[in-house]
Amino acid sequence: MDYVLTTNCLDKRYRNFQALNGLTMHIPKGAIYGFVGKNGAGKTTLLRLVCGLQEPASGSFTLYGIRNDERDIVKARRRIGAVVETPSIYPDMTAGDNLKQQYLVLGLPSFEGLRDILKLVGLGETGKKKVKNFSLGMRQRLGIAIALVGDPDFLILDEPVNGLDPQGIVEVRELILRLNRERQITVLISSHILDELAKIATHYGFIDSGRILKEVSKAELEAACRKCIHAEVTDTKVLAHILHTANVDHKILSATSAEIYAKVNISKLAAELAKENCEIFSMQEKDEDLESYFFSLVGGSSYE
Amino acid sequence: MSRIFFAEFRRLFHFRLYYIECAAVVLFSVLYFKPPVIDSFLFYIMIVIGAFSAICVSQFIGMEYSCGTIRNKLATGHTRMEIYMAQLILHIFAAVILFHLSISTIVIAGAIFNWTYYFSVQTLLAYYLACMCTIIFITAISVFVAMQSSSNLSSLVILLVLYVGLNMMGTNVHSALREQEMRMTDTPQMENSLDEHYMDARTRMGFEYLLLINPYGQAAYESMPVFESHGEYLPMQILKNPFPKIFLFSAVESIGITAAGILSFRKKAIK
Repeated sequence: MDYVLTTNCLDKRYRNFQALNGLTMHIPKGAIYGFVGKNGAGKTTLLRLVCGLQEPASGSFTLYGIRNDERDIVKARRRIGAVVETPSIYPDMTAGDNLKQQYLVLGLPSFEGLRDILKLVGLGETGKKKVKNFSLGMRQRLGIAIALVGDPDFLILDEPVNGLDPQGIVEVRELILRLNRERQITVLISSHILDELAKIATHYGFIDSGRILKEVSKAELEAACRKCIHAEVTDTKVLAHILHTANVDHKILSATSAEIYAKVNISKLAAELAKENCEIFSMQEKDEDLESYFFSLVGGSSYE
Repeated sequence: MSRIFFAEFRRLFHFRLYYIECAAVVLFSVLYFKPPVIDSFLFYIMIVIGAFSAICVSQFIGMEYSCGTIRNKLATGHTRMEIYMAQLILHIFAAVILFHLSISTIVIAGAIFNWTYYFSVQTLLAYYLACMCTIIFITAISVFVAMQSSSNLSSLVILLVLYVGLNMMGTNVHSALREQEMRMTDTPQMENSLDEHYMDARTRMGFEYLLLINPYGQAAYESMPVFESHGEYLPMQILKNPFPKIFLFSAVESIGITAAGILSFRKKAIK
């Protein structure tokens, strides 16, 4: 698999606080990678390191195959567009002027495509309105527009829907999906609005205390979060035989536990197990979503 | 680096504060130029440009931090050295424009009000070069402070305090150096006696170096109306040397400050 970004045991410390603690992660090309973690887990720190705003204390990362300590890392960074924390915009300029500024920073020969970018993010009609008079959602979209100047292959978005109203959230979500589908842009989104992330992400990285707890694809997460009945029995071989005969989808987890992915008649199943001298210890319906999956990984019940 | 320079150059022309400074320089020049001495006026305007440089640079660069737009440059593969150097060159350019705006103003005002000027071309040229060196020195300090501090206000306060300090230092050192060895005593015979404030040779050399390392203070002193108070024309003392060390010192200091600034900025964590 091709990776846009891989990190290897990244460490970053702020005085007495260990922000990143041996963080290792892999972002596949073309993915929308949801970076999930509590406040202070190290999400923004990682984004800052990748963008060159700070240097890691130890460890390394590779961006488009170029290690962070190589000279060519600046060339690799030209392929990224980023909105880290707040959108980086000049409030006294118009949306168009802000984009022109970024065109010049990138040394692009003309302002070609500027209107298209503004239209893409829904700011095509802002005219001479100064950015300081924009709503939060408009600023967020302008931040993304600036990140899109120069046709980046990799977009880094830090909490892109923070503080947005429901309509703004939908607009930003649709924009990200469109960029990923139409322009094949790989997107790294850090967020703690899990419901929103679940609607767009194709891969997930769960971070806590500066280290990645787990990386999963959407398919793997869906499998893990599938609605099922978790059964604890004395012998799962017997259970497997009965379920197989009844053509019921299931998964044996251990010698005593299994998951059943269909509606079953519990009394009938219990009777059949009893016939084979197999006792049932417990049967629980399991219905996990991204949030409960995250908490099961982190080991907490709530987060800030 | 040129890409950032052109981008920032464009931003400077959207920067309202710079236009206010341009207007203020024009006004200052008309109000405070006292013909016919043009030389000391060049240094007078240097004091104004020092203060304006502190205000403009701190606000312009401070905005990069407060709006987070410096992240757009770093995240798109520009090195910190490129960013620093582009800011330095831009602000030298901006200060040079202010300086020439002031000269143009007094030339135009002179033509309108029929002023006569007293100057020697050679001294004026030397003074002009000394002013350019001072502009580079002032801007190097301003950019150094503004790039290290992420706050507009703190860098403005630091710079203004620094410039007032340099100004006072230059004036005091200069005054001490011009102290007469003998002075007339207030007796009926009007005898000459040794001035107890007159410094020995070693202290004098030290003071001269203190003057050399402070082009801004030098400019502050030279801006005083020497012509009017003494009734004679006194060219800048430092330019009387066989080799005008002020050029060398301000060049070395500006390079040193910039090198230190780049090294420090490279390690700076950007929020």
